[in-house]
Amino acid sequence: MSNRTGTTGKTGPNGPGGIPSRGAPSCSMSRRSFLKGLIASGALATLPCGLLLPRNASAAPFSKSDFQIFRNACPRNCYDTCSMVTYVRDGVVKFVEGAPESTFTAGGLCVKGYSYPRRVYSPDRIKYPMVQDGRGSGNWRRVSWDEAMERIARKLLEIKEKDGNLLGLALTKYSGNFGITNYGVEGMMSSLGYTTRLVGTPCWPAGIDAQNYDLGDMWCNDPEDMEKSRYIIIWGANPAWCSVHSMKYVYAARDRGAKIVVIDPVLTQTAAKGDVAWQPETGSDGALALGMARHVLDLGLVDRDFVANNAVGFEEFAAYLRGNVTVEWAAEKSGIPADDIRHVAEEFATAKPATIWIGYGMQRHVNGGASVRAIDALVAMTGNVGKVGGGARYGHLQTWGFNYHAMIQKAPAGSTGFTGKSGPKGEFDVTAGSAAPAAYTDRALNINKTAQELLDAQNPPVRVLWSSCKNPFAQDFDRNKMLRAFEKLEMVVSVEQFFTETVRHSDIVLPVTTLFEEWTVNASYWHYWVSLNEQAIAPLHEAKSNIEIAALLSRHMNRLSPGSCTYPQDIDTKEWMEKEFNKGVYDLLGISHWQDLRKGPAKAKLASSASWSDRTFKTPSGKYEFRSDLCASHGHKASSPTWTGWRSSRRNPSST
Amino acid sequence: MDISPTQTGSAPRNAGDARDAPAIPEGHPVGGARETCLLRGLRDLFAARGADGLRAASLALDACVAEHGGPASLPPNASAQHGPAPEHACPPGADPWSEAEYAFNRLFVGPMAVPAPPYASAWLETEPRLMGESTMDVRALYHALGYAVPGEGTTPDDHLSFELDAALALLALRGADHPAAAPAEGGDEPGLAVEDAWRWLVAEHMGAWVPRFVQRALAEPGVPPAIARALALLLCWQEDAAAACARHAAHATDAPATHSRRS
Ligand code: SF4
Repeated sequence: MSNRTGTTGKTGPNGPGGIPSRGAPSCSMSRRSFLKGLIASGALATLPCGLLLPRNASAAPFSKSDFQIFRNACPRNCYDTCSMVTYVRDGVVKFVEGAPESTFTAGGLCVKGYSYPRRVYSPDRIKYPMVQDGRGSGNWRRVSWDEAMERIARKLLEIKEKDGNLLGLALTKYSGNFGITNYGVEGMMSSLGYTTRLVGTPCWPAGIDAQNYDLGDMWCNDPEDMEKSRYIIIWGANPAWCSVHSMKYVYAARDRGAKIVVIDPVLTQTAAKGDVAWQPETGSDGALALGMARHVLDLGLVDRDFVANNAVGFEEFAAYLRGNVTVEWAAEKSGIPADDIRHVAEEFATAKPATIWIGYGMQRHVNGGASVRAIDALVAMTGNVGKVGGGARYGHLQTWGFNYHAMIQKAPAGSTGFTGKSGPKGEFDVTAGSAAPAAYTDRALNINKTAQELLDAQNPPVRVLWSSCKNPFAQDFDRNKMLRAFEKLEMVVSVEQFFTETVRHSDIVLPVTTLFEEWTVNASYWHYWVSLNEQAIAPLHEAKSNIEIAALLSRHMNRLSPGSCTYPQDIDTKEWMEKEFNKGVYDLLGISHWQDLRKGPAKAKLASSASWSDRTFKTPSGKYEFRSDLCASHGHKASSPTWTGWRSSRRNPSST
Repeated sequence: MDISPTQTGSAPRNAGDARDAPAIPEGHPVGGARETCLLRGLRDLFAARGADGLRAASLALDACVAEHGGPASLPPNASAQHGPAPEHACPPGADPWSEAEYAFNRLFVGPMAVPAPPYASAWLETEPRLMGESTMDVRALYHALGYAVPGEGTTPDDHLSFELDAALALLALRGADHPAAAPAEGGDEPGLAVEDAWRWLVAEHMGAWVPRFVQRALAEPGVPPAIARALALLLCWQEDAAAACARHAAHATDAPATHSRRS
């Protein structure tokens, strides 16, 4: 600052100089004049107003030209995967809105979406890499990225030295950010060698298996065609809260005369809006569906053409129904009156087209997969599969055909790994069927038994856990067991935006970017739009994207032990986003370059809004399979949908 | 954590790095030297990245208070000589400054949600949200001085340490016949801009959040004395500066309205 020995006292705190004579000493009135004075050029003349303030720029009428506008997509693992438009001024996200180009998002977001700026700029965000001295102690220290990564790299090299492989390193990751480049976390693991993965899906696996047995794939109709349904059963889903954009199609169908039946043990907001709300016993859904199927059979409302020509095993299913199922039995199990079951079953079977939205909640039970199979069967036997406005809607992965460039990385030369039987696979597993079987693989642990698997893993035990896009303490089962499992771990690294329960039990936390701070691309498992996600702002504080973190780890690994990690050491999230596109994606979306997505999201060009519209199924028989030999070969009790009762402890909570 | 000169636009105009400055102009009131070392110590303390930084800043504050005296309202035991952490909170063998670092991070840094985020906009926006309008206000002030925070757009401009750094800069400008203190176009009297900027920053802007910030932090259990002392010094400084600002204005204005305002 100035060394000048200026006129002393002149401008001291109590000095008399330089005081304006324009009256009240309110600091707020002086603010503009100091800026004007300090800038001292090009300033507008201040009018001699004593009370009025100069008009603030933000009071000007809204003008898009005041903002930089970016394309984003909500990565929250929500049905809706909204296409967003982000308004930035001064490098700050001012507000967001739904993209008007997507007929699904239709210009609107949910309240979580609209409040994204609050999330990005939350004072509670994790801002820096930090180390906890004593897991769970709350004693955190700031460290530089380099310190954090060096510490991790040294630990990984230590366990590799000790075990002769990196199976002591485990990854748990799921749906915290479904932007495609975030599969670079799996890529980071592969680039280090063969590691342990908590795989499978905590979310919807039983239903996926069920649809694979019945139809050969999980593939739902375009939700936008629900407005053409004449009868909608929403079974174990609560779109009024969890898929707000789908509700407009439900309402449109009702406006055209459709009836809306909502089945949920809880009187949800969706149930409150339905014409009929059933609250069955938890986990009785399969019995209820079978009871409805039996009634449809009794009334002779089966679509004979479909079951004869496009399906296999219907007669066995019908025999099972006749021999084992009555409407009264279903009523007893579910608590829904038999007459109500008959009434809705008959209406459903006679309304064409009719559809069932199968929610994820109802398959998270014993009988979960069989329940979905029973509902599929009800939709199929009434001739609603392959129909616009029909369908057994569960989800789809049709628009996920990206390159998974970030994910597919090579193990360093000479890496050794697991040689046993491979474990479960995730639903996004793109390595299936590629190349010859390797000598070594990753070690797969069941994500749905995370705590137990971490406790049980031996030779080597899991020593280091890397958690990203995931909060095992909140998302996985058995908290008390999880605490014990974490005690076994030698190092826990969490990559997070906020302080979760898992971060509390970590040794190192690394701050990760939000959707506005990185480039990626997002697809939905429900609708058929694909959205570009542009970087709209610089990452706040010291946050880095998952793939930048991987690159930094690679730099440290290779510095300490050259060749120990194949991950590129310098990456650019935009370049890596570009690498995810291929001709298949372009053709499906009807675009010629990803840049086209800057104009707005694109929707898959579908032969029909109905899945399976040509009635060619991907099952072994090529037909709809009421009887699935594949299901039986996988060790399930019966090859056609049945209901086997609750787990015995269900009614006796004191037993374990 | 200091504001760095902007690469573009107006040159820093000699409003140099507050760390190495300022040689206090001859004949400057003693309060200037005290205020300078106090602001510098507080700036460095709240910018501390760890135990070493906390310790160095606390010792600097000690020296400042020893040489110039503390504000009258400072709690009697609020000195780093009483140790950085309460004895009971400090396990035997633990480095007391590490304990102070943990406490500092729990209060101000994270990774958990912090009770007293050291950012103006966390207190001044309609909802706690960094990079709000109040952040842009201080950014405009830094720019007007020819400065910017390092990593502008990434680091919120209104972190307490940057604001204290800007206050140091203005303090130096007030004590000098500096070109930046020259009259604004239109013939206002010299020094108007600097005085107004100072008053806006310390009285209006910081006055709107620093007292709440300090009270909220001090309401937490187990605040180590070194941090409690710094918080108290910060509050005393801000209140004294704002009071001086009001006296200054009242003195200069003989409008009766001023007197009623003060009563
Ligand atoms: S509806 Fe779902 S996808 Fe859309 S903004 Fe809300 S959370 Fe995100």
